[in-house]
Amino acid sequence: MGHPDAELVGRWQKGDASAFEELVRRWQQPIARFLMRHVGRTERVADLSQEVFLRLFLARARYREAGVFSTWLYQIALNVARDAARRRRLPLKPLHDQELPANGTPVGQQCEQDELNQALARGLAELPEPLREVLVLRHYEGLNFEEISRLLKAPASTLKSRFSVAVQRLRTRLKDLGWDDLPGKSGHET
Amino acid sequence: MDCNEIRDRLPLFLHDDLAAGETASIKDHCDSCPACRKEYASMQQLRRFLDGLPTPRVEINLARIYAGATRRQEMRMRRWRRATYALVGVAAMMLLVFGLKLEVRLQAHQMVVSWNGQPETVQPAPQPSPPQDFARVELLAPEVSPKDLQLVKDIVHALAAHVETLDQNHQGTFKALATRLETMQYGDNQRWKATQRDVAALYSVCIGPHDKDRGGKP
Repeated sequence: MGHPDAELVGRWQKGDASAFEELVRRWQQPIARFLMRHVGRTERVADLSQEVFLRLFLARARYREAGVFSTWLYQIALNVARDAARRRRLPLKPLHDQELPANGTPVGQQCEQDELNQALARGLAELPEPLREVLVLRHYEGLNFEEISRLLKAPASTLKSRFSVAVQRLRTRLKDLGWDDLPGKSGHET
Repeated sequence: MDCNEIRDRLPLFLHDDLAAGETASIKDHCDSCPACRKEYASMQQLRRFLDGLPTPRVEINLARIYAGATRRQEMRMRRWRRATYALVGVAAMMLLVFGLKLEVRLQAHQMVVSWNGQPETVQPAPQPSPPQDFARVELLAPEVSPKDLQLVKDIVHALAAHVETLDQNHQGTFKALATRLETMQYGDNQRWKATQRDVAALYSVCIGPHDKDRGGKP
């Protein structure tokens, strides 16, 4: 039995609509996470995710067995995110619109976490697009540099440099925003 | 490697993206260099921060996808039809020009249009003897054999047949999508009715009976 995604795509291409629905269920959260990190605006994620799966549905006939489904899907999501960024550049979200962390956290700690999340989202949004893309794909989506290389059509060595620069810049930006050192959160693990 | 080179590689080291040799040398260096060790701890902290960033929950609406796909297919078909009509129009024009041997001649104070090799004056000249010809443009169609005419006709017929086939294929796709959409809408309606019933039952259990029973015992 092959990879579940490849099997589902095969069934879908033969006309099984439930296979497409299963693919949507499997991938809707990873795609939403990718778009959230890339676009940086919570309220647009649902619409953009919808657009990704609509484009996927329309491109059914173009998928070939040789390709990896996840790379193909991230390629579509990347195009949607780039189109959205081209259409309009929006200001960052205000603090009170951000999603709060899980319940049960003390209020002070929750506010601190909320501010940190906003600073991170801001730092990510301020990164140039080529740096942000490689950081999001490597860190959040867990793609290796070979897969990212196929997706972004750039050499893996270039992408590794971009990834290092992105992390360093993000850390510098967080320092500028006052998130240099958190009490009780630093430590050395080897 | 010096400290700067080590620090450049720390993000990759943290994500296990370095070769075994490089990984070992960075580990050794961090064990002996407090500044790089601190830098590494800072990177780990950043990684934890990034991991803690929340993601919104998204539910993809499949009915909207099917409806959107149907709409885009229709638009694509309309574009195809327009292109085909334009092509057929061009072919018809060619047929007219080559088949009827159309000839347009622009002379001083008059334009002559003729076909089948018979010149005909459309507008007589206002003066009996024009002083001289200012411009003379002649479009004379070359001789076209019946074989060429048949070829043009065949192309037009083949295009029309192709559009017809495409149309039939897309009609089939639309029907399948419409049926699926209806099924999903029916399912949604059923679920909505069930939710309404549940809410009504819950309301009567938690709040009490409706207006008609107001005034009775709680």
